[in-house]
Amino acid sequence: MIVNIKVDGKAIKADDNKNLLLNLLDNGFDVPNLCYNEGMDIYGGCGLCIVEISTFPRPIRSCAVTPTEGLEVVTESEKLAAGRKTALSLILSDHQGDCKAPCRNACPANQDCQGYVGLIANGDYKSAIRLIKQDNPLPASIGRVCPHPCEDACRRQLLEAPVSICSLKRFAADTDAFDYIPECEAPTGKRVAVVGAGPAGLSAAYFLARRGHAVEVFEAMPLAGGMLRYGIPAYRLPKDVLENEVSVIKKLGVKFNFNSSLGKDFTVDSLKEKYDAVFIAVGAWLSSPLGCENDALEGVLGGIDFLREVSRGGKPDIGKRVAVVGGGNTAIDAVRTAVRLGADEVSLIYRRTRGEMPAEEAEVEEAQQEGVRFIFLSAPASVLENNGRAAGLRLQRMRLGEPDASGRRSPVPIEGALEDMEFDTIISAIGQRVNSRGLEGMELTKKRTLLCDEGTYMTSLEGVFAAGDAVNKGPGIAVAAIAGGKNAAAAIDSYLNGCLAPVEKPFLVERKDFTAEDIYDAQEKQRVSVPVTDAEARRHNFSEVARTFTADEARAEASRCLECGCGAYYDCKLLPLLRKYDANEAHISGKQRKNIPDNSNPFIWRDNNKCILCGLCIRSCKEKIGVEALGFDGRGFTTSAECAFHTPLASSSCISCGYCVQVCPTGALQEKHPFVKNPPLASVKTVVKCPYCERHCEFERYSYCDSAIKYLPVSQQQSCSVGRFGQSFISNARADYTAQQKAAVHKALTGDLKYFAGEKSALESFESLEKLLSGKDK
Amino acid sequence: MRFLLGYGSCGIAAGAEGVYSAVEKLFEGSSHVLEKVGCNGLCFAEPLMQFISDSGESVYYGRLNAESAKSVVGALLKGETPEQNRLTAEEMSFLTGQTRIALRNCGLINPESLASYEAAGGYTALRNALKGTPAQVIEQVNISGLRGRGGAGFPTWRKWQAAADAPGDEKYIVCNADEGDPGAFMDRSVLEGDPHSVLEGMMLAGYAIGACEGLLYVRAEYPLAVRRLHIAIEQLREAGLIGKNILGSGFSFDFKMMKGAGAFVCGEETALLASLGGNRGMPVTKPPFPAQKGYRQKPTNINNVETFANVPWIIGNGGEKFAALGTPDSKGTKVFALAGRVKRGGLVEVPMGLTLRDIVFKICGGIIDDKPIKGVQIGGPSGGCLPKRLLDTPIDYKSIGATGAIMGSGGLVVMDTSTCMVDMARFFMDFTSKESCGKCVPCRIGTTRMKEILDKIVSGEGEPEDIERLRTLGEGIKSGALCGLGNSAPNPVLTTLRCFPEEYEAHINEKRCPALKCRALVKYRIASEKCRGCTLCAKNCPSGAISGEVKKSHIIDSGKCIACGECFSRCKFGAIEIFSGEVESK
Amino acid sequence: MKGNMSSHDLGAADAIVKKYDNPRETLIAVLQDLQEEYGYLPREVLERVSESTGIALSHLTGVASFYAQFRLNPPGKYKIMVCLGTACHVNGGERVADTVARHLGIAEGETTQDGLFSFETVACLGCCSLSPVMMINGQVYGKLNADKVKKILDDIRGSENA
Repeated sequence: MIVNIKVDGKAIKADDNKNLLLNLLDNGFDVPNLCYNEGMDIYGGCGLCIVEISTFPRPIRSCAVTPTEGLEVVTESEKLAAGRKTALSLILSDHQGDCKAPCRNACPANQDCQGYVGLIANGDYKSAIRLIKQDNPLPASIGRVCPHPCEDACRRQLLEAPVSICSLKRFAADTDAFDYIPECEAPTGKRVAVVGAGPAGLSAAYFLARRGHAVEVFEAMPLAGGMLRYGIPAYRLPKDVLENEVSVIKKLGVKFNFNSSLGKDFTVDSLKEKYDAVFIAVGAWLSSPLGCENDALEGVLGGIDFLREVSRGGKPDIGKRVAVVGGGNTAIDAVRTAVRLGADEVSLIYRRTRGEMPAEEAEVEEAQQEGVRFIFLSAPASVLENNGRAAGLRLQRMRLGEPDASGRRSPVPIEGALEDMEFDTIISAIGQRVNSRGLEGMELTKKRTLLCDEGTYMTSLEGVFAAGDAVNKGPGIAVAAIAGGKNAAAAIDSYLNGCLAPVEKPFLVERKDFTAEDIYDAQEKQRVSVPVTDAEARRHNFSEVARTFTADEARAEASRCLECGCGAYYDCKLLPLLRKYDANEAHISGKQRKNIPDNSNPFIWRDNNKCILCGLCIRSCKEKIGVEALGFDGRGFTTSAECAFHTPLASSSCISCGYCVQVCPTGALQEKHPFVKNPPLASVKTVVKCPYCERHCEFERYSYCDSAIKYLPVSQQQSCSVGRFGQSFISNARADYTAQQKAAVHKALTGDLKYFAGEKSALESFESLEKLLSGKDK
Repeated sequence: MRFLLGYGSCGIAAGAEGVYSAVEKLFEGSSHVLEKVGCNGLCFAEPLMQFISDSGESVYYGRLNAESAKSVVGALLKGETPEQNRLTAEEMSFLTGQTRIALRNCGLINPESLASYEAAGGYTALRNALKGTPAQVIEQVNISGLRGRGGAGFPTWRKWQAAADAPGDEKYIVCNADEGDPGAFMDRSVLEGDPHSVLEGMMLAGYAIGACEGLLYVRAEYPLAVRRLHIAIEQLREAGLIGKNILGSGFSFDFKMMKGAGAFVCGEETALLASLGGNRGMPVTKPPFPAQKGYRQKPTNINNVETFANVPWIIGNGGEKFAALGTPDSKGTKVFALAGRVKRGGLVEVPMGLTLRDIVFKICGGIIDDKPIKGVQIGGPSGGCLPKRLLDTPIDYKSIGATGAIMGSGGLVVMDTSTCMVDMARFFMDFTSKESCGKCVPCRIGTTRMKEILDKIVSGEGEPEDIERLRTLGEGIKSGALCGLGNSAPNPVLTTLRCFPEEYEAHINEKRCPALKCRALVKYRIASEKCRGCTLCAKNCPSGAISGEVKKSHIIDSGKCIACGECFSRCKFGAIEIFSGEVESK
Repeated sequence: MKGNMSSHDLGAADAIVKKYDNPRETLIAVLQDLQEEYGYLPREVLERVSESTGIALSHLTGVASFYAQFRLNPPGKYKIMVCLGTACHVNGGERVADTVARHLGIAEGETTQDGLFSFETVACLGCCSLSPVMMINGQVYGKLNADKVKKILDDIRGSENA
């Protein structure tokens, strides 16, 4: 019977044959729920669908209410939000996993490392580069120069060594050969000026162009790339690689004006007049002076100035003995460049020890191989002079004292321990500063960098945004500049759309207590190291030192990925609710149920660590399928969804129909793909008909680029395992399946024939399936 | 002359079997009989024998053993009235202060004899009711004002009426005898001491709603109750009081019994129904209520043991007589199980409206060793802890409810200053978290989180924010849990937070347990001037923390001491001192 | 009760199941009878029951694991249940539990190596006025202290060794 009810003040016609929750959902009210499924018995476990009704004094589960004439319902209120937040915080307190992999979380640009590494492992390089280019316009360059915080976070190192994520990105980018031109949205008619064509400026230009804005870049130097071009030597990043990536950005319609300098050729105000928004990414191009006596003598060079000159084709006369002061990547680039310019004796002087050097370990190693001498625990006390020219350094010897704010032990001078050393050239690589020319009228930080908002990237001038080395904390790594440009582009886009929105890192569930013990099924497998030219051969020229992985190397290396990020990220019902109701670990925490995931079934992966015990898998297996492979086990906090006697799914009565996976609101039940890796990807849905029997059931086909990832029966109807999993497993059947794996797939695909017993068509499809599987046997 | 020996579980545990076999022979050839009866509630004096003289005068002899029983019975048989082991007048006030309806036959009749029950007026109410209409039965229950004695206190007649009104020919009566509250044993005593009163109550209910069958769901931990119910049902069958067309009335009724298997949550009616159906005892959302869809999806009425035990009396004596007792809001009497730090523990049935103080001090004689009382825990894991200042609260549904506790099934645990309220709260949360059915999030995870916070506090790691965390979680569970047991699970914590905030603060801020109970917060020391060097403590110390020479003062190595309290309980000279916090507490 | 056996006489299970018209509805009673017969609920017995009744195995283990009474592993010959109900808690039930654990060298839920004792704690035995109490194979021991507990356990062990 239809009854009239009032929901949030709106009159609604409700069907009293259906519960209130279903009525609310049918009428477009966004009532949260995790344990409800139309067509299954009401459960009442999650407690999220609570509403306030006129006939009951307290919030009540709407799934348990039958609508009656005149009922008044409130679906959103402070009280309800508080109740939902408590329930969600409790769920979260016993939900272990990583929404996204630690590598991705560690990347400033939030690149989907697990995604592209997985695609590379699967041999789908084309998809890999498309995925990378969602977040990074310069992967070939960044894949060569990045100090890869992703690898520092990689859990594989708990076993042996991190996955070579960075080199894999380079592999994907090089394999693509710059063929992929990302698609852009329709033109918006808005114009944005970008000052600076370094990584931040290029990134902003790329992402703004993709959003349909007209972008014009102003660059002081004759070519694009900024520090990537003028700060990083060619033996690390060949200039044509960079140029090819820039050319892709040009193809998106971005206009470049070179040799056009801020504060000289134009001003911020002049840009503001002509453009709807201005983005400033001028970088930090001034080398910090040594800060000791005579540090301005001839023969004392700034590190950045030195590298820029060489990059522009200059061959500065640096003599035979060169000293570089500093311990960062610029210092390493400078010594290795000096070696290549022919200096006989190149020394790196650093005030702490090798362990404290901020430079990349591999780079330090390679510099050493190229004959660079390292002088540790020394700092310049003064520059020695000869005929008005620098002739050497007086070094103050140091020792390590207490750790400083960065956690590194700080150097303390040893009184009286001074030593003089002779050098022809002294290069200062101890830091960079921002040239504030043209930034007048904008607020600066104490460090004389440009002040901008951390979320909106807007400077003190309305409509003027900034990112990269020039802002706030100052210089950082290139991928952070890429991230700055990308995030600023998003903020600028929101500004251009009339509603400036800060870019915030959304809440993610992360496992913070992960140890080697938690890796349950990975075999030890050595990291494939990046092939490097022999030291003697490389020290005389600027040819690229490191080579790109071959396809075999890349696939082998990519297959080491542990796939930490949740495979159900794009389907999860829990995460959006945690975000909406602001539930996070800070509210409630405690002991968690620990489980070893069940990998026994070839199609279904069960991870009880993520199970929120909504009971949908158990209930659907019983109520919908009638199999009861899974059941509740135990009681109290440790209640869990298990097969009888905790046997693995493959040894249970499970018929691999996959219904449980469809209804699972989290990643506790995930489907496995017929690939080496199962990277979670935002897929595209089309409707297809299953070819395997004459019923030709309709399926939703989910695919990423050209790869079909999964097939779900249309509108959550149950299906046989052949339709559900066979479609992807047969079309993608792997040649490298072992006989055992093949047998497992076979068993799982035919397990529910009993379910379709008597149906000739099912048996025929089974035969064709057998043929297909055996056809791959060759 | 009659000799009635208490033969309930607790009497047997206290040694009633030994007493029986010791005195059995004395009755050989005598016209007098020694009758085994159920527990009459004077648990504190078990094993207990009641002697009723030919003139009807009663004398009680308690704390018997084989020896003393022989001499007492021997003397009684000779016509003497020995003073040995006789309960004092003060002890007898335990009984004289009570008004017994549900317990009317307990300890007075042979629970294994139908004749004995009938001699006490049993089954007259049923016989009479069968001559009238079901509506008349419901009417009398309505007039009596009887409310469910299992915990929630829902008016009994309304449930009956709903089940009677529900369409269908197949209906059921269920007796919830899964007495799960730790610290409560009223139902056990009734089932063991007067099983027929419960069966008669169920039959009356069955007649009232038109049910065909009565199901008893009895706790498996009560084997004696199960056995006696069995006997009683068989007796009814033999007597033709159950089966088809009982006494020609056209009313047919039979019993089925099922043993629970150990799950507190099965006290919740939908969980109990799930269990009766062979499933995990997980509650379901209501509606539908059991009165519409219960056992086998048929209209079902569920009451607890005490509720049913009251019914024959109400029908026999008229609802008005019951209603005359108690208060306007809470009519009749209520049985309480007194335990804890009280002198005379046992079963007490009093009219509603009496105060907690009356029960604890007038009837039960106050606190062991006359220590100061700290409070009373009422209502088990769903109830709350009431402080001393609330002792004058009248016991009725409304007044108890106003304190944040609930009447519950009738467990009253008395606490003195040696009871730590934070530890009590932790105890109950531990219980409910383990007993949670696992279905709904607020109960399954929430009670565990509350328990973890309390664990932290009693182990000296509490933070000031924990109090707010407990409160937020408690309120969240109260409003968010699926079933009544989940809703009330935080009560022990919320009531102690409200009534004993200073104890939480002492644990958290001063790392001190005022009751000297929480092991992590107490230290033991030997007062050298009191220690005689008897070595008893050292011999019994399980962790080898005590050392010293014979006849010389001993010392405790605090590094090894596990604060088990063994030495304290052993020392005959009061030389063991317990401290908590920086200030000496004792 | 037939105690620990490596393989079980499944005929007894069949006989028990046959006693019930509707084993699914009366599953608790069926499991209670099976446990009475075998001392616990052995896997092969439940598998047999699942086969003969059509009740899913996961349902049998789901029900068995829900109720405290059921065991899926063999218990000791003497089943010690120490009461930790409210009254026992207030009167020192935890000391009793500690003593049992220390004296037998096993933790709650464990069985001694010789299979003689298994030890668990229960919520309430309903003998609150005798608290603290424990129950061994159905017999209640009340007003316990550490010495009494030790003596009771030693006496049982002595009678077994005799």
